[in-house]
Amino acid sequence: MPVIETRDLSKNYRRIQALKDVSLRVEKGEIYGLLGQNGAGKTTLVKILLGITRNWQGEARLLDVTAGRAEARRRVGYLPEDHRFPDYHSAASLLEFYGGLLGVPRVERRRRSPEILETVGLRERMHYKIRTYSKGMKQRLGIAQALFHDPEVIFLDEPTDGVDPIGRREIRHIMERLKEAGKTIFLNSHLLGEVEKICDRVAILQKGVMIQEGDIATLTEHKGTFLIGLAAGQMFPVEELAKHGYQATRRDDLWEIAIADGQEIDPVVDLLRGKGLGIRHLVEKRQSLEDLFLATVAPAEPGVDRPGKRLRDDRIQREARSRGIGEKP
Amino acid sequence: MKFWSILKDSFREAIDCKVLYVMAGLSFLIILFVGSTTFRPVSAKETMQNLLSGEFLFVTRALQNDPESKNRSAVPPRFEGPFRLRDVRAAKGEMDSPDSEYLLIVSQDHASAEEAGKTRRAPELALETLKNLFTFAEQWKLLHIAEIRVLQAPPEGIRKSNLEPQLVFFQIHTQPTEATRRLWQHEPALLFGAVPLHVKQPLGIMLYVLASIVLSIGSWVTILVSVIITAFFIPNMLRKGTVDLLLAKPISRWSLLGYKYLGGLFFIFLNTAFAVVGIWAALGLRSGIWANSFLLMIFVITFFFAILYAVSTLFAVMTRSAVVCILMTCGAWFLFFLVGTINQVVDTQQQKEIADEVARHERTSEGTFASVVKVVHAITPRTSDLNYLAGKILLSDFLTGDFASAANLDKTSITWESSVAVSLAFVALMLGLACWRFAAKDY
Ligand SMILES: Nc1ncnc2c1ncn2[C@@H]1O[C@H](COP(=O)(O)OP(=O)(O)O)[C@@H](O)[C@H]1O
Ligand SMILES: [Mg+2]
Repeated sequence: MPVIETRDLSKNYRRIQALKDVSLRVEKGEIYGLLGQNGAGKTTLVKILLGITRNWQGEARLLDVTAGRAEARRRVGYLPEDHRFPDYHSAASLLEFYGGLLGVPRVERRRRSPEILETVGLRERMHYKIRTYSKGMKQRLGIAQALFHDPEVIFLDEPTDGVDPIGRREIRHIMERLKEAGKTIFLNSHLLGEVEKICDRVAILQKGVMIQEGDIATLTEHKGTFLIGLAAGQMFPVEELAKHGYQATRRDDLWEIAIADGQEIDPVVDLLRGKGLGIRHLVEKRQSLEDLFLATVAPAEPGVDRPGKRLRDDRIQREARSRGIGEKP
Repeated sequence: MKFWSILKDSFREAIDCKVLYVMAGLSFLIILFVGSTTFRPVSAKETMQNLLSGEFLFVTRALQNDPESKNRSAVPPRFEGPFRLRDVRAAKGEMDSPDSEYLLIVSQDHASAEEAGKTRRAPELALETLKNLFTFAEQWKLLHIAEIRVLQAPPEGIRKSNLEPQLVFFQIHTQPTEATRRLWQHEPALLFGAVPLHVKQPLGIMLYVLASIVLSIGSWVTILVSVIITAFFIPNMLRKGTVDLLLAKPISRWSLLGYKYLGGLFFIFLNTAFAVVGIWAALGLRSGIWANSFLLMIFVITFFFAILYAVSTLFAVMTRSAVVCILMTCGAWFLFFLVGTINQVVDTQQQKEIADEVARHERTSEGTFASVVKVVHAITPRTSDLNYLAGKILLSDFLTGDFASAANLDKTSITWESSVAVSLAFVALMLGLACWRFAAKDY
């Protein structure tokens, strides 16, 4: 039984089509990453599952209940993007309040609140008003409230937004611990490096359409390109390989060999071994998630959520890449 | 549990805006002001004279206009002729206190000393006449007459010049009733006696006036401030980034909004309860009159606010703007006031025309304008009517200690049942629309 399942899920905000026929499945215990530029529809998808956004078409189920029904939400934690906690609360009283709404018994609330705030490093300031918190503290409080009632599924919408690198690593550790505890995590992000490190599976949304989905390993696998390294001081027989139809190019200390369809890497290895060369390094080259992302997602015009006209100017395109696609300009 | 959580949250929010402290402070000042008002009873003799001569009948007659009173004397006896009130003495309790029992010394003048002697020997006829004079006071429950008897010898302490042989003295033993203290004339002074007001009025009337002034100003300010403060509650809750967190909780949107509404009400309820109980206690301690119907004002003011807050809630959900909420709520408030006031004028006019037996087609109270007013009034919440009805109850309680008799104070078609019912229906409509809108909206 999947924890989250959508089938042909579509959502229109008046004339904007935020989601179009999105189908995905998230199994128990997975960390699932939803990637996409700003405005791709990631938040919309999560809001539909949680019943914050209504009137959608298709099918969406959360914990085996139709999305939007209150009972499923009891077992769900949620960190919205751009969240704003009522600032007349302190961290402790906020957890008390949300805990009450979530149906956590009073004794349990008393016990868990300092515990969870300790985990995110807010224990000392737990009785201060939220309005005195820094952005990073608010984000950590956001995570604390999402985990407070020990939910089975946790939705994190841009959890590392505005968090410094150390904070990001802490958040990653928390997610790892949750995964160990068998929780399912649904992560929205446009920070690809992060997603790559933590997620089991990802989907890429573009303009509300899902254009890629799969295991990180499968997606980033770059079929047919290998990196080979020889023992120090040995010459790489480039010309000899070329005679056999293998093209080798130098990549720093390693050599990259692209293999055409129907060919295998084994003959290359045999050849090298046959010449008495020592192979020290052999891997199938992976592309980073970023490479994949940039290759699949049409670049956005700077300053625009939705990709507009194709960018003609190569210079602007390069600029967009160096900024990181999807990041706010 | 969810309800309590939201209630506590609303309370925290209310406390967070310091206005709550300002309001509590203002309430405290008002209570202090009321508590600093002192009332000094005028002399027992003067009051007895007034009570016996039917001075306050305008009040009591209106209040006790029930079927039973048909058997009562309609006109008070003129306390004159051969009978004169000579002296008043405390039989039990302090002199000049409304709660004491008194001995009234009344003299009856005779043509000669012989006739006076006859009456002393056989006083039945005189006693009967005297009793009739007091029936009035007793029937209207101004006083309770325990005993009337003839005195064989002039009582001590009567001035020499009054000790004429043709005078026969009677002694009437009175006991106080609920109304005695309320109708007993008092002289008020403000600020612990520092500012005497040099008027003599029945205590109940003064309390009623004081309470009405304090209440109308106080509730007006309280409601206005509350409308402003609470107008921020729901728009704040619906802000992007805040509402998401709440909607993701396992609670239906209807309950969320409903509880939030009740949270706002709870806030003003506490506020009002503090002020009203404080004023009631201050008045009670100062005057000895515990007009319990005054406590009813807690609910009347809260209900009044509930009507306005429902308007505010609807606009909060529709616009998420506190400013719009404040403007629309104040607009609605004014509108209700206007409709209520015009309707009361029309209604009074109609009652009068019916009483005067004006022919139907000549009645101004049944023209087109009046009909429109009545239709509009029929469907708008009855804030003015609630005030009016509550005022009536207060008046009757302060004057007779019996607020059930308020219904007889005057004749209008305004009743509690219809006012509350229509207002409740209005609140339900506003909240229903708000919930319906809230439930369907994307956040
Ligand atoms: N409440 C809304 N009303 C109208 N349009 C919306 C609303 N929420 C989101 N959108 C639009 O839907 C699209 C998807 O938005 P969103 O799901 O927030 O994207 P993401 O989270 O991927 O950045 C965007 O074009 C956005 O402008
Ligand atoms: Mg988003």
